[in-house]
Amino acid sequence: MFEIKYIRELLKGQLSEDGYTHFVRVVGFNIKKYRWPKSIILTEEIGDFYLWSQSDIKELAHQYFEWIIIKGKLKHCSKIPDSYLSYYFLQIFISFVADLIKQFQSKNGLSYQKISNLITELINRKIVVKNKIHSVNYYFIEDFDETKLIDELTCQKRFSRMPKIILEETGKHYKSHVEVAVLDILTVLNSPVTKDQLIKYVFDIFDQAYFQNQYFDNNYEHKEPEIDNELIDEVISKITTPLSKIEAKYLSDYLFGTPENKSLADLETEYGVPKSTIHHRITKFKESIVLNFSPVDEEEGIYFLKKLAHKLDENSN
Amino acid sequence: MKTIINFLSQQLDSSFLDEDVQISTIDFERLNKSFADLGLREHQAFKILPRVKQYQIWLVKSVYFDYLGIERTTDHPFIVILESNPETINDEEFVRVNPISPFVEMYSQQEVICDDPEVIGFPFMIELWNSQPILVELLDKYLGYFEYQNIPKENVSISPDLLEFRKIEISRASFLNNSIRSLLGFFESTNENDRRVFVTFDGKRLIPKPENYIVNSEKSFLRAAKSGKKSELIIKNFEISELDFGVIITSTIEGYVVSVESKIAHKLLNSANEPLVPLFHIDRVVYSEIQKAIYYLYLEGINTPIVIRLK
Repeated sequence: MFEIKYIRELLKGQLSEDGYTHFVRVVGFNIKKYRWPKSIILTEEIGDFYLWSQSDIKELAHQYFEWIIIKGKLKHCSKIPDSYLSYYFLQIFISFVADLIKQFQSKNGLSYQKISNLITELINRKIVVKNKIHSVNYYFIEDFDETKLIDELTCQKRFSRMPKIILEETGKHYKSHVEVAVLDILTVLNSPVTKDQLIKYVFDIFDQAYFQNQYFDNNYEHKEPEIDNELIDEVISKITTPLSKIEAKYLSDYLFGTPENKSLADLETEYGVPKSTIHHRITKFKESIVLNFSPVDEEEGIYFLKKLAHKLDENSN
Repeated sequence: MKTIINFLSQQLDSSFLDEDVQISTIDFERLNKSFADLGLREHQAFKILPRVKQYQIWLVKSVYFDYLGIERTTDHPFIVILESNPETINDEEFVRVNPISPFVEMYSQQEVICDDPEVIGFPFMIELWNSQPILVELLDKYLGYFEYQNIPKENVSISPDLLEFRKIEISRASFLNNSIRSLLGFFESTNENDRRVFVTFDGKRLIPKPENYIVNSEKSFLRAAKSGKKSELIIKNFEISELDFGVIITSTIEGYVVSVESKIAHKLLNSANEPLVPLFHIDRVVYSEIQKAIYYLYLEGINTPIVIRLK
């Protein structure tokens, strides 16, 4: 993170040499950590995609400073407390780089402008039918009149159910993809649309993640936080080992029994154990769960409970 | 979007590249001039904190000790907007909040966006799908106020990237709701007497020495009779022998008295990290008129404090 003392220097326009060095070093560290490609600052690829010289790092740092100023990112920074300001500087840096990467991607893959040009070409080739309704040009796959028009919300709902078209290749075959996309979209919407609407739908239907993934390490794989099986087994063993068979049984019945939950009186009758003892045991068991385990998310929590139920069943037999 | 997702899913680093940087004087001076020309003002904190209420925006503490005495930290700090007015649970004030994200690029039509940077200094997005309950004591700094209309729930197609972003944010928010879960766990695992004075160290509860546990002593009745107020005197004596440390906590009419017996230098801080001023006695340090709250007793040379919760 950028240190607050150097941020304060920068905001006053009194950045020291140490501060400047610090900013460049932090930028360089993040480039290495997240493996950003050099092409985000250079218009042409030169040499190794990920090998940044100090000059390249300083270039990115200076572009970042200019971007902050041009976009007015600090205009109201007096509202931001110092304890958040350091994080804010890092966060806008990440947003800045995300923006650069997005701009670079738009030069590869199918940009909005390219789609617009291709659709204009299709319209000129009369692949779709044009009709003017209330002075606005609409387009559809066959002849139509005003009665064929459907409201935009319904069109969006129909569009949202369409599967994405994945684009993986660069260069020359986009025209056929766009033509297929136009015809598919108009068929599914079953309504004429304006040219702007059609361009937007066609742009949205394409999945261009391939072009984003190109710029990340080939070995990079974002891992979903895994369920910590070892920890769960350890905790379950710790809290169930001290239980006797009968305790495991009535705990299982009380906590996981379906369809009707048994009352303490029912358990007392069934197991011949006083209600107060059962109540105390249940309370202590719940306490030991809370004290020993805290799931990172709902999925892990449900997994833990299922394993616990299974273990209690096992121990009661 | 992947850039932002990678950032949020990883721990923050205070590291930086360790190499010499060549400085170009012209670039350096131009940079300073550009920022000086902006005429930016320094942050002015609110002198008086407002009463907690709905639609306020707060910065949450990045570190806290939960009700079970376990230290909780978060790498990426939280700013939240209060979805409701405070309520109480087990005598503790809590409130429902929605985290605020500065990454408005992750907007999906199921959030509220505030484009006005004057509210808290930058545009933000309210994560309406990430509502969490938190204890009011976690609210650290008041930032601003923003009233918004709730968006009607509609089925909107969410891209895999946005789904991943939401999962990360919901997972991170366990830092917030843990304050409530630990409170509930505390109440399940303690009886009413134990709850008034609850001391933990390194995530473990300290059990008071039973032989010094005195309730309703004669002296306390006399004092209570003189003051005309009813009071129940409770004294609890805690020791950590390996640290050569002991603390006696006494409940009185005026509040609590905390007596620390230790050869090691120490300081007692309140929840705002302000040190309390002690009275000195020959063999112990005494803090008097301590009110119901959470306190941190730091012994010299030991990073982890003894957490004292008084109710």
